[in-house]
Amino acid sequence: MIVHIKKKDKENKNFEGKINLSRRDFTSFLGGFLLSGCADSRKEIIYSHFNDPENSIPGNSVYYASTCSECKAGCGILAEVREGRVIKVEGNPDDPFSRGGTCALGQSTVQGLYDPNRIREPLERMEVQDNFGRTIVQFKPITASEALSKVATAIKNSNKRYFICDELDYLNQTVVEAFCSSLNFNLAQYQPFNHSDLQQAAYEVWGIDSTPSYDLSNVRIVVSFGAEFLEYWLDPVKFTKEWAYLRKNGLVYHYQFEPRCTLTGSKADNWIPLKPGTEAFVALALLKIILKLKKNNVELPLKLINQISKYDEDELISISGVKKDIVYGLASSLLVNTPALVLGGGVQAKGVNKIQLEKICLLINHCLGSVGQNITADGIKFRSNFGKVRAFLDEIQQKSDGKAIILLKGQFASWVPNSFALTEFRNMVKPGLIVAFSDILDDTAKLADIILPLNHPLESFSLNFKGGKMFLSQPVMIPLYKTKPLGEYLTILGKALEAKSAMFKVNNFEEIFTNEFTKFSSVEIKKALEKGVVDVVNTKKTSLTLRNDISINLNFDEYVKHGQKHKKGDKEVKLIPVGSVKAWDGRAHNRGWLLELHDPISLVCWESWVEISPKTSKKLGLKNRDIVAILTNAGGIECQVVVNKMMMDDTLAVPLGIISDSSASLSKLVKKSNSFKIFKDPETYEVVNLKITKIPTNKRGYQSQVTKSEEGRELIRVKQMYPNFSTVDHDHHSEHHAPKDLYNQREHPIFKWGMVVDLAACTGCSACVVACYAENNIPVVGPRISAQGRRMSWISIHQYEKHVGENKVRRVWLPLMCQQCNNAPCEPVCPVYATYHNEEGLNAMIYNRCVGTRYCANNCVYKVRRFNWFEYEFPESLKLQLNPDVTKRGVGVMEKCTFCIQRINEVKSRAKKEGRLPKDGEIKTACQQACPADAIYFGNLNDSTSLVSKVSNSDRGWKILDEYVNTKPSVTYLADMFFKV
Amino acid sequence: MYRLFIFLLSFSFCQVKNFDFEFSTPLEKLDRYEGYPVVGKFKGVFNDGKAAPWDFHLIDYFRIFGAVERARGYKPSQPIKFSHVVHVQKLRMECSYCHYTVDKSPFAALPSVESCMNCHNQVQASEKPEWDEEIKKLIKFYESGEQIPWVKVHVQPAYVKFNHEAHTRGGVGCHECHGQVAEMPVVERASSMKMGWCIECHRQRGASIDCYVCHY
Repeated sequence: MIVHIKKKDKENKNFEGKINLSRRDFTSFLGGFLLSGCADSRKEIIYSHFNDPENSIPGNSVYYASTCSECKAGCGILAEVREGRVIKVEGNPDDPFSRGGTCALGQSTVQGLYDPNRIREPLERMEVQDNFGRTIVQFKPITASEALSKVATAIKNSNKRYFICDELDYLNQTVVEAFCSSLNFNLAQYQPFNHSDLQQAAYEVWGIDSTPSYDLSNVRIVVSFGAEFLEYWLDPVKFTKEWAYLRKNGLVYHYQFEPRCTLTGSKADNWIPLKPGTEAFVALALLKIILKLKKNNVELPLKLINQISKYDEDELISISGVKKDIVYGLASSLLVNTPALVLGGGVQAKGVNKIQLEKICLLINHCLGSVGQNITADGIKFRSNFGKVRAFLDEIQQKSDGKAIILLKGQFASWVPNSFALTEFRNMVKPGLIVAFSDILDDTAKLADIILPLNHPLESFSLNFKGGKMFLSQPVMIPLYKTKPLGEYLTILGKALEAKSAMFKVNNFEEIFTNEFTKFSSVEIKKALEKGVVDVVNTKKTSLTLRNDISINLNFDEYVKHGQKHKKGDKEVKLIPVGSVKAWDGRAHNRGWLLELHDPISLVCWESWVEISPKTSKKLGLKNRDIVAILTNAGGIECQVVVNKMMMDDTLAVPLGIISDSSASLSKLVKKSNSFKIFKDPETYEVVNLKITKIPTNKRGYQSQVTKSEEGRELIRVKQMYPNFSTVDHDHHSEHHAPKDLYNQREHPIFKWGMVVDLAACTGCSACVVACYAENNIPVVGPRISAQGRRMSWISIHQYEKHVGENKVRRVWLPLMCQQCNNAPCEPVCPVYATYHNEEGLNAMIYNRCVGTRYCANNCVYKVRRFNWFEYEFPESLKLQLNPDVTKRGVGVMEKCTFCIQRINEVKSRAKKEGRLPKDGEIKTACQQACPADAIYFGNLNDSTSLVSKVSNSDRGWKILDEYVNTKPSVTYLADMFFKV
Repeated sequence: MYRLFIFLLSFSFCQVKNFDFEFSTPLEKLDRYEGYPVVGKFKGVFNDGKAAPWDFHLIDYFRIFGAVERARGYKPSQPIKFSHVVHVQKLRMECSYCHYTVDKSPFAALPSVESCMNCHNQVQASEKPEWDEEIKKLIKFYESGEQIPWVKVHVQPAYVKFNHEAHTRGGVGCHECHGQVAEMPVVERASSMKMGWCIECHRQRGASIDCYVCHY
């Protein structure tokens, strides 16, 4: 190495202004230069505000009350806004129904807002030829006024006008209906998970035009025929709140009839499997038995009684495969334990007899006298022919003269079976103009000629009515992109086309909202803006009286056919659709948190699956995690097998809503397995010519748990009890004798933070998992890294199957987070003291000390530590969601649950300011706040008056694995319990 | 030994190169307004004779290790040569008049352009013509509706949560971390903000030195 420097070296004459730099010197120079490059030398710029925004102090959160718009239930939410951007959504404690609870879908709302696939401005379709002569579809941005004028002229020139749309809130619904009626649009509304069947049943029974609303708050016995009321049926958060309260106090007895055990079924005291589609038969038999038992006291119209008398109850029960004495026993206990509720419906019961089932359930409630008390008429409203989409789709696909106009909202390209060929009908039919209203650029939006981007509900005003209350949605931040709400586009179009309706005589959509909103008094308006919910004063109570023309006609065709095959000894395998809390019907298919969340029943994340009972899987020659192809004459999917002990034999269960959308950035990573495509009909979910074949491949599916058994140790406790809390059989748990410790007892002078998780209330709904993702900036790692078992979730729902009694399996959900052990195995092995026990009883994890040796994770008994194997990048728009109170961890760092230390510190700081100690219940961890069942308690264990220390001393309490390894966790679990009548 | 010297020399050379010195500013001549009670020039900054061994004060002072922006004496040029000397010493403005969230929030926010203009609507001329230029700059920002891109002086290391509210409430004066800003015509970094420096003060005042107080 030669360096030119001026140096006069007399001794070395040959040198001549050059020195020979040795290798060591060179490296030392290089090292100096390189190291100096490592220094973090960034100039940081801070921008001052131009003007100080109202109600906003940088660094402090502001909470705005609004309404969740993910499903029709519309729970109240509080949106946490920091420096003008929403960072988290929490349940609103002022909502009288959800009372601060949320579900997994509701928690993920913010990811919908910051979705990287959001459409940022109106787009127009362009078809260009590439060099090889192929047509390429491109979307070119245009201005909103230009796009709307194009749509308006197309509407003017059209001869056929269609509008196909999904669920809408009240305000947009009224605008859409006015728009369609005044401009002669043919309107159809559809959403795969809807309750319009229930509304139709209620109409046929009572003549009301909304779904009934149920009140579980004082029932003694609840019977559900397929209705997943703790997951996605009607108003799940409200039901979970009420059910969990009763459950903890031992007041409710719960029967569930369904072919495949859902989360709701797993919490039932008596889960009764029956053949798929036979719920209506058992319900009718139950109705007949109840009528028989109440001989003198018949409330039903005579015509109906005569009509149902032709069915024989024993025969009905025998078709369903349920034991006769269960139904008889249930009927007699329903009469004794009042008030009682019978719920019917759900995803699994989709089929020809669904409306009949719902009608029968409403009639049973009538006989039991719960109508009027526990069932009222002020439920959710749907349009009268909601869900009737088949005839409409057929009509759209007729060959037209190119003068039709179709307005689209919803994910119809994914929801509608292949037989409707919606994805290809552009080429086949050559209709006129297709306009899509969409917030993200998905496959459905790509069908359109013009895409008009929609606001996220957190960016716009709206109103909703439910249960005699008005729920306000208010914008909590200014729109991120050039988007508008649906009502505004339609108002502009309606005004441009001079629609006759009085609705469009306003200046803009905001005026429609104001007109509606100012019907309330100024006090109520202020309350609505503050609390999100106000009473509607002038509601007239609809009394529920039976109509005279009720008729019940069960369709037996399928079961006659089924019975014949049964005689030959070759049972037909039946395919049923099921739901999943992580997906619903695919309405939120592009959210990383939900994609990465594992379904608590199948334990599968990022892809679809098919559930088979052990017996049937043996018959079909399939093993757990095999990859299979399911083919019907409508289409086919490829997915993995999940062997599920708790389901009916000869049944396949396929989840709806695991959608892979080729245009969306995240859900395109899901394997192509959209199960909507294998059903023939979007209304009845009929399956024809089912074939299931194993794909010869070395690949195996990934499930987040290897085993669901306890492997010989006592991990989980389940207690069978009488409703007065006396145990049925005294189980012999090894008494916890204080073992000898090598180390001294830890001292916790003021605080000792502790948590209690009540497994009897936990329904496995996974809202806590999503809330934790949102609060703690946990990255989404994607399908490939997930399948290596490297998901980063700090809390996860584990599933265990516990044998209770003979042939009875009970599924227990175990939310497992860091146990903050007092004798933590992770602490002594850390070579750099990055994890230690602090004086508040927390097992602290300091990221900037961690050097990534991963000893702690190896030594952790509970396997709750997560290692950052890579630097996980957040998409640019999702960075806006990150919580500024929590560090975003980099590569090579271990992380784990911190008991939401940022929330603890915030409350402690606030309390210190006011010169007091934190009050009991003032600190709420993210998982505790989200839990709709109030199964998680958190507080100071040093304070003997705090709720958490009282609950942790319960008879049911135990510390997981403590007897075996003496870790002394700070988390106490309360044993799951089920009741015996 | 000389290799070590070469190493350090090359290292510090690279560091010094990045320096953004502000050698001559007309404001620098002004030191103190009469009657302003300033006790010692850098009081609160160099009052720590007992430095923790891991806190390289000496090296830090001579700017050999670490980024320039994170070292003491970092004195970047600001978009507007705002003088704390004029505003605090002469006009006796409270720190929390402009940095109004210092006792309400973890961040001591900068004043908005509009709140600067609350006074400078009226005050458009000053003692010296150079200062008038700076006021004109502010008015230009205001008229174009732009935010002022201030250069952050006291940048915190990563993975640390610092709460201004808790510290002001606990009786920690602004000068203890930021130095005598009132005496600085151009604001410079007065403390290294290294962990040993934080801990020392926490020890002296009996505040908690649990890691979870700041690192989470």
